[in-house]
Amino acid sequence: MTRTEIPARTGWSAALKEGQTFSVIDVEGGQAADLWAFNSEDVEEFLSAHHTRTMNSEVYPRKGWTFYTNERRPILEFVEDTSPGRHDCLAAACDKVRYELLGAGSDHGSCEENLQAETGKHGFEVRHAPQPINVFANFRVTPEGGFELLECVTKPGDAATFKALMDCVVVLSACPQDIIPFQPGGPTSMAAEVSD
Amino acid sequence: MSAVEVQESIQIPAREGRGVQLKAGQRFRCIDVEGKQCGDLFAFCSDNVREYHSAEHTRVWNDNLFPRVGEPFVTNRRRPILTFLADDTPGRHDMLIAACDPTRFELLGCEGWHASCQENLEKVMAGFGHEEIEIPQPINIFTNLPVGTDGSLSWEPALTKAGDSITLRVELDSYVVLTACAQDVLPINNKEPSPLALEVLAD
Repeated sequence: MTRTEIPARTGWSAALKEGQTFSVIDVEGGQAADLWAFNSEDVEEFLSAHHTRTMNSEVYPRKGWTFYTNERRPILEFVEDTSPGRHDCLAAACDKVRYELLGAGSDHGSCEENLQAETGKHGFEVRHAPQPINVFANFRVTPEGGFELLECVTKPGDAATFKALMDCVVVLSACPQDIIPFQPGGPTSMAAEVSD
Repeated sequence: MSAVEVQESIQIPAREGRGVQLKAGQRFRCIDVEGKQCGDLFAFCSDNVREYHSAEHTRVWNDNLFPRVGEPFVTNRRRPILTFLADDTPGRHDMLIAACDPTRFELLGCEGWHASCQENLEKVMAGFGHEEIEIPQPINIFTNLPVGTDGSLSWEPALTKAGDSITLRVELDSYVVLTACAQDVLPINNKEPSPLALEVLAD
């Protein structure tokens, strides 16, 4: 098992073999991570939230879910969850424009820019972030069809564990959102643990 | 409702797609000709098809699963590309489900080729000279997929009647593509795919 600290507001990535697992750990609690996965053999195939929702006929990611690619092939499985189980796959990743529109300027840092920096380390570019899996993000649909960004309810040390179902590059971003108050205590660090 | 002059009327046969290039400010109407038929609607910026309507950015923009009348649909660069002007339907639409594609029908047990919204979109965009496009999450108009309080999705037949329509305005020069959903295994089109129409309205 290899553990890596992910400082607040930064990204992390790893090339995994089919069968390897990785855990996303909320070190201090109240923090969300954006998660992406790309087929190592063909990065145009990647985890697609809308295909995953369609295949599972559900909108809230939970333990037991298989995540599918834009080719409808299994890429990750959600195998363990010690958190209260609130996760999202409906909200776009934050990006440079998001913070400009929120009045925070152009050099705020964002999950999309973290993703782009991480995929560069693996030799590929993404023009814009696919819909991420927002691990620990407590975003909920109201009975009237509203969409609310509620505060994260994770405690220190809560972990979500995923298994690679194909060789893939996985990327995490410790979300730097500090304008919309869904991360109580502000952006904090996370950790990733990868099985041998 | 005052009479609206139609500049161009595009008939979309069952299981097929059609598109039109529109300028910012133009209005169009999507019509369910016979009722109970879903449509997959897409909008791509004319000057850069890598920028297109993005459901996930629209949800965050409006704090809603689907825009209400008066609200915008925004792109993956967070710019309004369409505005929802009028809804003359029972009000059920979806932006959570992927476009149907050949793999979807193969997994549902269909043998051989089956028409799909993804192939329809690719064909229309190729006709505009864009062979390589990303496949966005569609705006699934007239689609009745209620979300339960537990997050479950129910695949219900569309509630639209013959002639029901929605009206939108284009905010950025765009390719607008509408496909008459070919789904005949699940009941969203009442298992009888039927035609749609797309009307460009006069200024």
